[in-house]
Amino acid sequence: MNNLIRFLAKKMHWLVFFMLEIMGLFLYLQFNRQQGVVIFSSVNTVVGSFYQVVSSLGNYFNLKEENSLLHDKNVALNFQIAKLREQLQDIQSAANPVEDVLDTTVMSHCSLIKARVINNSLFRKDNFITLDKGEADGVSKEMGVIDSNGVVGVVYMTSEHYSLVLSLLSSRSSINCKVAMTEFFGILKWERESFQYASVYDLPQHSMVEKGDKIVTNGFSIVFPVGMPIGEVESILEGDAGQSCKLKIKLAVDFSNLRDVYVLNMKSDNEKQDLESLAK
Amino acid sequence: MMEILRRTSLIIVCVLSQIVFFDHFHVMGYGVPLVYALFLFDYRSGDNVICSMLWGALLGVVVDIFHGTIGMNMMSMVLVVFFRRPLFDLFVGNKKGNGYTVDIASLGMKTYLQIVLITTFVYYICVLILEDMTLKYFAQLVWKAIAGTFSTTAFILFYNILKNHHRGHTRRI
Repeated sequence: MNNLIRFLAKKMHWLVFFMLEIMGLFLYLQFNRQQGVVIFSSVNTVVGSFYQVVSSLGNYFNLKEENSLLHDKNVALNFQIAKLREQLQDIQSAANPVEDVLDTTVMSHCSLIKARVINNSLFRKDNFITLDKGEADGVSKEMGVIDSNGVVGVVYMTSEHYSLVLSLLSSRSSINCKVAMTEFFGILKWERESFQYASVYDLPQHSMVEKGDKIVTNGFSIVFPVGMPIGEVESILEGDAGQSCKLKIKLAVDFSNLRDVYVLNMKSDNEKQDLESLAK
Repeated sequence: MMEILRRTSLIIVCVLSQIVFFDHFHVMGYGVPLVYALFLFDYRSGDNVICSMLWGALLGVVVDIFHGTIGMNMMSMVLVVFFRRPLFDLFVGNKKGNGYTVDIASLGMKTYLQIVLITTFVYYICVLILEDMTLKYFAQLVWKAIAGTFSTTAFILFYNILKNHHRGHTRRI
């Protein structure tokens, strides 16, 4: 305490100096309005800058919280987008029903089981599609699967509530098909080139095929009715031994964007089936 | 007591002469001599700085009241009075040891002139900055301060010479 008093006594002139200056400043600001305004606006600028810095710092330290909030919001928006996309696809599939690709004669020979793709692969040797419908819904082995664009594959295995479809994108897949305009037929196989393309073999050399011709099912099997779109001719290549030609087909179905499909429940032609079995 | 009377009379005379006569002595607003700056050179080394500041504040307030510049002269006067000792010591150095008064007889013309010029200029600049409160017309402000400094210095020099002359005359009698 003594030291403090001694210190203050020693620095008394500084205290008096500051006191007088403050008094002068007070009088100055009190009685000189113009200067007061200038000083206060300058002080405001300085104080404003200070608060801006403090606010920036505060914002910086709150970034973690902000980030978390944004993350939550992002997740919510993603959910919303997914929901809207689902609604849009429902609307699109309603506007472009699969019945459009099936003529009335075909429709009289089969019924459709609507299913949703719950798993799909594109880049394996044998690609399978899992559907959310199974035996309980009337799905059984060897049934054809189509979507609004065309042929997707054939049901390979079923369980009570799910079924596994061997898609066209499989080395094991082999579908009878024909060129829509000429009726020349061949066999569709996938060569693992791309999920957009497949090939048609065993087409006679003299078949008048042109680029852009439609390839459809020929109805020889009991899996697909006649005239189901498969794709269109992309290019014509020479087949083995020069006896046949090979067609490169751009598939009608976009396997990378597959969602709603239909399982074709063909009303079985037992007589035909029996005869073919007997011959084999 | 005599000191109080002397300082009081100095303040009254300075302020009155400033208001009545010297405020009207200028060229286009430039070169107004601040005769009350005489107070700044009424200094003996060893003077109590607190007392000097209080006297300075009083003089400043009185001038401010008459000029309508409340606070400006008070702040400038207190500031210069507070820092004048180190400023004077800077020019006087060790020539006079610890005891000197600020006049021509004690310091010589050159040192005295330097002290008066610098101190008056600092004082003038302080008052003008507080008056304008902007550096927008800084060049004009500096010219005003320089002109005012010269006129004030001329007056203070004249006063000091007269005082010394009068002192010499009295001593002879």
